[in-house]
Amino acid sequence: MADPISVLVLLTLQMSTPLVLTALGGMFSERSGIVNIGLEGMMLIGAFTAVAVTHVARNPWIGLLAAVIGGGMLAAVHAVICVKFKGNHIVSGAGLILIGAGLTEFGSQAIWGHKGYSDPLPTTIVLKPIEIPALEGIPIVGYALSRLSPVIYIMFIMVALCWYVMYKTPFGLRIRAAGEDPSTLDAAGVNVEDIRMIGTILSGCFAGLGGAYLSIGYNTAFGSGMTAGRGFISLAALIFGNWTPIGCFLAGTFFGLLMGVRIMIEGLAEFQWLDPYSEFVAMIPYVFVIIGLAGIRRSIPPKAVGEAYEKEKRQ
Amino acid sequence: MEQKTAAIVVIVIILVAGVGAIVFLGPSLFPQAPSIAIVFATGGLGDKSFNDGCFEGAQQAKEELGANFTYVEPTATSEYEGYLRDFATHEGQDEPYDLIVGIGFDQYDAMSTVAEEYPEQKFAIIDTVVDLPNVASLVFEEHEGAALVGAIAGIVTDSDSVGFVGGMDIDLINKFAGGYVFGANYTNPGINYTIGYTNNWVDTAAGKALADTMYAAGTDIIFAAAGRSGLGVFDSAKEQTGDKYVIGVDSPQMYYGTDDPENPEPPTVCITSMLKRVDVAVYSVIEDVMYGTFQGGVNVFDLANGGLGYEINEDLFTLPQAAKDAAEDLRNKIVGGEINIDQYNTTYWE
Repeated sequence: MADPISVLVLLTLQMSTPLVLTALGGMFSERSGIVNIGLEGMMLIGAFTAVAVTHVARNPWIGLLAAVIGGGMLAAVHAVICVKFKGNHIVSGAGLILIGAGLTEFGSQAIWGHKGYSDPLPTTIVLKPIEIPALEGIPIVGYALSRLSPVIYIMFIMVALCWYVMYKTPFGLRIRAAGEDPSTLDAAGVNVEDIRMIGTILSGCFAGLGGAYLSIGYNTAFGSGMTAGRGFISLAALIFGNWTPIGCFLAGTFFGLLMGVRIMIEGLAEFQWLDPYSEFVAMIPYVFVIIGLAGIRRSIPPKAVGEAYEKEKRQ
Repeated sequence: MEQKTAAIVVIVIILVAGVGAIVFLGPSLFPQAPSIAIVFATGGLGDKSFNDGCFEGAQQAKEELGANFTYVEPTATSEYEGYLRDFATHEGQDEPYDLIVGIGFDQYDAMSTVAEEYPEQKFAIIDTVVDLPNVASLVFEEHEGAALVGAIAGIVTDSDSVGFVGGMDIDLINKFAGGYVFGANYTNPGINYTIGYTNNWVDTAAGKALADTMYAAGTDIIFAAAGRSGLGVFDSAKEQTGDKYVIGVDSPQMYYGTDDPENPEPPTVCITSMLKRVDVAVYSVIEDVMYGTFQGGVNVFDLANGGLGYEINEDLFTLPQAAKDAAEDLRNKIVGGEINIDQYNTTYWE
């Protein structure tokens, strides 16, 4: 039996992982200047691809890789529409959500013969938590650390890696420049469109990974709509985290914590008296975003986000 | 002359009676295979429980009664009304339908509206009551079935602590919760129980997180009545060390608790499932239409008429004899009227 705090730590990490990964993806897209509200659709594609490929290949790591590619491919559609054809980012993003929902339902019909739901994968070929009994003894965090899914470790690595790439490499500088001041980047001899394409496709890769965590890293099957709005919460975490890797991590973890608190209220007998307030807790992330953005601190989006870049356009 | 008149009168009487008999008794004497239209719930076919059960009932009616049926799978609740009306006007369809079946409590509004517009059309709805003369409302006494699996849980539990994961805090789901807690208390007085809701029917991650929490707190059997979210409880139980179990809902789900559900082999974490025989309900209403005995109003399916039950699958898991005995004992008492479970008695958990 574990004490409630230890359980909450584990729940927070589990609930926040898909949010943080997807928010990191959104960061690459939006920092390069492409608004991406289609993260939910990319998560769904990732969740579906992971199960479908694992089902065939009988190896969850191949499934995870396929989810990254699958999410990236859907994002490539967004990139082509928004970058090459200078389409409206919001319209294209909304379309991607519908494509993600529809394609996965169709795909599950094609593969498993029933619409919107996959057969469950055997427990032998999903990503099982890495059990480290030696860490169990550490107070508060030991319970969580001794049973984390490999994807959670990947999430931590990705946060560090994204921070490094974003601030310490030329590529990161170019991503940021493409979103802030594309004409300067262009004058420096870098192809703005290429940078934006790469940024957008990266966002799909991360969102696909976030979705795959839900389907093969945490559960064992795909179901239509299983992301349950997490793509939108990630978008909120991205904005709340001010479009930075560390901000995405903190905001995503905070939202994950609130999800965990709600689960604890529902699931532990000693908190049953709080039951009437569990919906209230579920609402808090959204309220926080509104309060946070409207009052306490202004989020500053990349300057050129949402604008198609046209070479040598007169200002 | 008089004989002739008498003969004519007799012939006329026979004719009138014959025509009358055909008109009034026709459906039962010469049953016509009915055409049925089904509007499924948004979960769609392949949910392995509710919609699939209805499909099976219709399929059985097709094979045994010769009924033919068509169906739609709406993806959003807003589509219900349009589909129901299309079937009622048979717009874009070949034929008028003898019966239109709406699956699921959330079709209440759509069904009420459309059934009122087409008073001559026969409708049936599952899981809720639409109070119109042309609608047959097929409802289940879920708490009775839930009480039986609760009784089993009360015997099987080692930690004297059982859990319930529901989809939403609504009357329909609380009937499951109420019956379950009643049954567990019946075989294990004063048992500890936790009741939680995922607030979502498709979020398996939320179902798993909730179950993880309950298992971590010492609960060892969880009854999952939360649609696809409930499947997350199975994922959680499979990951636990030690004897942590699940009870499935609506359709036989014991196979889902095995390590490889595609080729189910013991062990399974699912010790039994509460069966809600929606297939029986759908089949029986189609039968009623065919034999002309269709009536609007409430049709109740309970333990007594076989509309509810629990799963036994000895290939996967053998329940202790005491648990089976307790469940049968409770079943007999409920059917015999000795025990009456107040379905919405929330004092079970307050």
